[in-house]
Amino acid sequence: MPILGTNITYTAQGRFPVTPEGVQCTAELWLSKDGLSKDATSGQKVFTSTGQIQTINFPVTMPVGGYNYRVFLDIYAGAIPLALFEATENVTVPGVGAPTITW
Amino acid sequence: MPNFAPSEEKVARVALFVKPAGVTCTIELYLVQGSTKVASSGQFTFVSTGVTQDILFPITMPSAEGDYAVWLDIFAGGFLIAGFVGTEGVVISVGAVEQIEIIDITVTPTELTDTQYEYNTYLGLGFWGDPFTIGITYKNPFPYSIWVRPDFAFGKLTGEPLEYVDGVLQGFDAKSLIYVRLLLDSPAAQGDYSYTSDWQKLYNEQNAGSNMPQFVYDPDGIAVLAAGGDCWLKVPALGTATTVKQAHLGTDITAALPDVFDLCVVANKAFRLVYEPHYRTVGGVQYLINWKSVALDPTAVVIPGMVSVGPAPDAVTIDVLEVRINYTSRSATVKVAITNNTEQTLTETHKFWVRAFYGERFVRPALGKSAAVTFQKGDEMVLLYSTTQTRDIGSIPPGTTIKTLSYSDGFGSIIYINSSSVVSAYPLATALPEGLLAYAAVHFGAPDGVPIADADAGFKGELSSLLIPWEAIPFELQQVVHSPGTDWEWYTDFFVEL
Repeated sequence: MPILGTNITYTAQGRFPVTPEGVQCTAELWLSKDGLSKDATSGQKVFTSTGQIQTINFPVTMPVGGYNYRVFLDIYAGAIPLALFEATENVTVPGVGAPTITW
Repeated sequence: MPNFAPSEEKVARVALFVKPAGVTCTIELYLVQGSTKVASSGQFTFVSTGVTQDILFPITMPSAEGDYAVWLDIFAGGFLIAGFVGTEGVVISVGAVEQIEIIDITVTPTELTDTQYEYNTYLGLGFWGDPFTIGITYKNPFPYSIWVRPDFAFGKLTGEPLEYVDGVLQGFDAKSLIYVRLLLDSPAAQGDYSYTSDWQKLYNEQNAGSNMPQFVYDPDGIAVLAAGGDCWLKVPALGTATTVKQAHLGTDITAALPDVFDLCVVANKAFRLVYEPHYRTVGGVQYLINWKSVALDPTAVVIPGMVSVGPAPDAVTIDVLEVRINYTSRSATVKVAITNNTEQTLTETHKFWVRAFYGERFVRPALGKSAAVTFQKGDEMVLLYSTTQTRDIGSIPPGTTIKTLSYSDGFGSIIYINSSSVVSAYPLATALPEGLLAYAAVHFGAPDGVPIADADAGFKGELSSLLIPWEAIPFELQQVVHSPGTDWEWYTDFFVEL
C-alpha cells in the first residue's frame, strides 16, 4: 500500500484501452475514505480514445493525513459512464499529531 | 528551557500519535545549532498505533556550551511526513547536572520542644525527644526507575555551597547524627546510629511510621538488596514518590536550645538498575544475576529555619492515670496519658513494674470511694483517676500545670502494709528530688478472694497520718478499704514534678 504525504501532489498514471478509437472521453481519479465523498480528485481529464492502451496522467494532491483512502477511477463518454473502477490497493496518507517532548 | 551538562547522556521522551495505525515509520530527534545538526538520537523505527505513544530518544548532549534547537523528523514510505521544531530548545552549560530532585518537604509540627520521653529497650530505659512527622517527595527526572534512601538532619547552613566530599555533606553543620553515619558507612560499621533520623530498619519499633519497602527487586524479580536491612524508596521513571516518617528529635538537638534549625534532606545512596548479566557467588554457589545497580549522585536540599526548638511549655497536665489489673495473668498495666498545652497527647504503657511485686499475691482494688465493690478472680478492673478535679494537690492550687511526670517502683516508694500496720515508712523527705512538691498515688488492695468489705476506720486513720501529702490529692486514699487479717496492701507511686 503506497504511503503518500498530505498536501503533496502526486501524479497517478492510468493505463487502459477505450474502443473504438475516436471516442471523446473524460476520466477522473479520486480518493475517498468512505467510498462516497471525494476527499481528493484529479478533476476530469479529457482524452480521445485510440482503441489501444493509452496512458492518462492524474495529478492528485493528497488529502488530510491520518487515513487510508480508497482510489476510484471513473471513465465517461459524455454523460455515459463507460467504466467505474476501484483500485485493489488503497493509499495511506499518514497524519502526525503535534508531539510533546519531556527530558 | 532544560539545562544540561556538556556531553551528558539524556533521554527525551516524545509523546505523539501517527494515524492510521499500522504505518511503519522512522523517527529521529536531533539538536541543531544554526543550521548544523550537532547531536542526534539516530533513527528509530516504530509502527504507528493510531493513538498517542511514547518514544524514547537517548541522545548525548553536545560538548560545547550554547543553545540548541530540538528537531524531530518522522518518515514513512521513504519520505518526510512530518517535521517539528521544539518550542523550546536545550541549554548546554558547564555545571548543569541533572539529579534526583526533592520537590516537597513537610514537617509537622515545626515548633518543637526539648521534652524528653522515656521508652523501654531491652537494655533499659532510653530517651527520645519531641515527636514530629516528616514527609519528603522525590522527583525522578530520568526515564528509568531509581531507588533512594531518604535521610535528613537538623542543623545549620554554613554559608558554603552544599557538596558531598567522600560521603560527607559539606556546607551543612548537622546536629543530628546522619552524617556521622555516612562517615562510618562501611560494611563493618554500617548501622543505625541515629534512631531519630533515618528510614532504615523497619523492624525497630522506634521507626514506626516509615513506609518504605526493605527490598529492591530487579525486573526479573530477584531481590537486589536482600541483605543489610536497609530500606529504599522507589521513584518511578519520570515520576514522583513520597515517604513519610514519624521521628523524634535527638538529644543532640535538644541540648542546644532555644534555637532555630535548618533542615537538610538528602537522596542518599541513590541507584538505578542496568541490564548487565553477571555472576554472584552466595554460599559457594554461583547465581546468574541479570541486573546490576549503578550508583547515582546524591542530592541535598536545605530549607532554612525549618523548625524551632524551645523549652518545653510549662504546662503539662496529667490528664488520666489508668491502672488496669488482670487477675488471671497476675499482671497489671498502667497507662499514663499526659496532655500539654501543645495539644500533644503521649501515652505510655508499662507492664513489668507491677509484675515484679505481684508474685503469688492476689490483689483487689482500692477505690477512691469506700463503696463496697464486688471483684472476682479473673475480672479486669480499671481504676481511673483524674487530677483535674478542683481539689488542691498539696500546696499547689487547682489548675497548676505539671512539667514532667515519672514513676518508679524502685524509688523507695513501695510500702507494704499487713493487716493493720505499715511495715516500711515512706521515705519522702530523703528520696524525692528537689523540686518535687507533690505526688499522686495509686493504691491497690490485696484480695483474699472475697468481695471488698466496708471501709475500715482504723486503717484509714493510720494511712492518713502517715501519708499526709496524699490527703489533699483527689485520689481520696483515706477512704481506701481493706479486709483485716490478710497480707495484701501494695502501692506504687506516681511522682509529679511541678
